[in-house]
Amino acid sequence: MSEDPENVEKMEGDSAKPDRMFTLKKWNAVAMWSWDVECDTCAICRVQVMDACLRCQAESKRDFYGKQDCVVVWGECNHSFHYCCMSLWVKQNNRCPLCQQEWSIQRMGK
Amino acid sequence: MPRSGWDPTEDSEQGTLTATASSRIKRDLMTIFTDPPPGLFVVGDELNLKIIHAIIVGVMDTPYEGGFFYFVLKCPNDYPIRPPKVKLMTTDAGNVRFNPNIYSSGKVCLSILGTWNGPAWSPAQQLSSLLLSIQSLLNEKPYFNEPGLVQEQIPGDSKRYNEFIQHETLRVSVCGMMENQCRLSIPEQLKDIMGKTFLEFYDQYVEIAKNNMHLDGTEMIDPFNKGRHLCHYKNLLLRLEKIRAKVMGKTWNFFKEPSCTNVDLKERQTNEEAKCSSTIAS
Repeated sequence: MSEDPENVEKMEGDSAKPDRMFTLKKWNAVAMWSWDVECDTCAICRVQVMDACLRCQAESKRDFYGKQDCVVVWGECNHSFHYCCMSLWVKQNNRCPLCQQEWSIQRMGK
Repeated sequence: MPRSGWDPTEDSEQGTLTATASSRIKRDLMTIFTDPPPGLFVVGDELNLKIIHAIIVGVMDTPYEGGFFYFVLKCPNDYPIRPPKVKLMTTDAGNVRFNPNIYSSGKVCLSILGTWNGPAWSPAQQLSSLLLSIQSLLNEKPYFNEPGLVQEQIPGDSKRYNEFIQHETLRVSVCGMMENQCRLSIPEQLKDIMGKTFLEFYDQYVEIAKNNMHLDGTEMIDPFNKGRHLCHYKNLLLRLEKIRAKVMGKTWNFFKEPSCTNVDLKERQTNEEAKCSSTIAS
């Protein structure tokens, strides 16, 4: 883009030293990222899996020092939920709430 | 601990909602408010967060068209781990069974509610998906909702059932609901929505009544429920017109200009009513 004014000036054959319209001195690159998982909202409490689940959020409100570590759990079906939410559900029915497959844990973490 | 019984109005579960449950109910309601599915209106109970009031408007081109079906839902303390309990309140005080899967007691037979066989409840369901499932029971040919009925028992059964539903929709879920014959405690917000929707559907109601007038005096038989009913579209037309005049009066009252007195309003209403009865007479 900055070359355009130069070209115009050359074509017109005006001054020897081109006058730049502007110079780029600095820029800030912004990058976005998201977790590469199939489901990023916990279907049980409807909060992002990377945030604490509703229960942990409510409890940490009450308890200032006791910081809750709300982990995420992935099933063999690749669906992810909060561990807290899922542990309540599997007691009721040991199936993935989304695909109804038998629930078995693939991995856990954050 | 299993919760026995399907009836939300007779549910004995005490205690309070868990933190997850109360936030989740609010989220579910918010989803419906921000992106309302057509023909589906909900409002939370003013006093009890566990209770949700819902109106499902009968979908066009079904015998339920334009009808107001008022449901009461109660969420368990651990919602969404277990499903809400649901009851249809629009049953003409327990006299009309509107669907093979919705009894005159108000019980809704749906596998996700645990009241029927099939795919069970999943916590990935929410209030909107549940209400949409119920709305889908109120379809074009409800006769075939009855498990095992893939074929009519007597030819024409499905058509006759539709005629019955169409009449009862106008009688109970339109006129009865607008007049609140059964004295249901429907929240004001839902009543307002009903009034507005009534006016939108009014021409269709009248058309249905006029197109079926030839059935007047004949007996309708509900193959899924005891009791016989007589068709009475002439009377329904009269009721519809009275309700319309009343609703219009209310709307008029709401938006009335300062110069318009109550006397004007009454006069207007009587004119409207006079006009209605003259239409009937002709």
